[in-house]
Amino acid sequence: MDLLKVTDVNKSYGKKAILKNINLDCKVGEIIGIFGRNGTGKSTLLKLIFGTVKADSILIKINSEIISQKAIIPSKRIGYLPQDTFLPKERKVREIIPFFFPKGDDQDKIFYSPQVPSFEKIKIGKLSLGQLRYLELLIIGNLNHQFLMLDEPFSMIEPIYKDVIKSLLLKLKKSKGIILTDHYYNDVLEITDENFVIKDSEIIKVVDKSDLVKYEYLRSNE
Amino acid sequence: MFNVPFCLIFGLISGILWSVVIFSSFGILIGYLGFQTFKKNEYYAYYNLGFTKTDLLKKVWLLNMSISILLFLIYIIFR
Repeated sequence: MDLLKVTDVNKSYGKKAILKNINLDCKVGEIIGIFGRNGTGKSTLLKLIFGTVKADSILIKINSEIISQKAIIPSKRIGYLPQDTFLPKERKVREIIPFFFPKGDDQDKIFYSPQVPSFEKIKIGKLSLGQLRYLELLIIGNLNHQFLMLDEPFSMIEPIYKDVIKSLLLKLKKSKGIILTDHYYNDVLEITDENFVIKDSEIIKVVDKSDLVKYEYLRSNE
Repeated sequence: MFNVPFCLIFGLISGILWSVVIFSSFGILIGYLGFQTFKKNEYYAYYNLGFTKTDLLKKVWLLNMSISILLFLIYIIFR
């Protein structure tokens, strides 16, 4: 099984340390959940691993191969779903799919995925948030990355699409390793194999909801 | 998207030849700033396909330069 090993992650903005000595492993076949209050560095951590934010220090290894931050994007081994949409709003869904997948067979995988025929003729800007997030995940998930960093895949999504997205992520984890972060902790805990919370710039392993309370991510009555 | 309208407007004021020159030089900067300001998140589509921002800029520059040379040759031949 391929293994993504991220060690010695440090990131500060000015004098404020956001992440201190973070270590994280993710195997293909695994979904890792990361929780943390706003501003604790969850998204920053994913961007550091994807290479779009420069780290003060970071060591990224896939199996035993060291990959520099600059080489992550050209290597096409890690994919990233940003919080805000990356698809052009003025284009139709069926125009976008060939942009990512030039081969007909690869396009068919997206066009014939559940729900897609119902919105393929619609412009990206007219999709519901659930449809849009699901389409983005379908696209990212069907590219050939070994690992995926997903920033808030469940955020603001209607319930019907949450279930579709959960099924998709469970299907994707058979061939990829996934690290995701989201505030919708019930949805995350349902599909993850391991979970962590970032608190005071450090990463702490959590097992269940009571640990999220213990580390002050949740209040006891939530 | 941002470069073409800018060059067309510039061409109306200063002439077609300047418009072609701007298209493969200063216009690229205008295009970059426009994309950076209004469509920044779309970079992630290209990142996921393996293209860095530098790769994209090089490709745009090469494409615009080729189009400019072609337009310049057409201008020279038919003027």
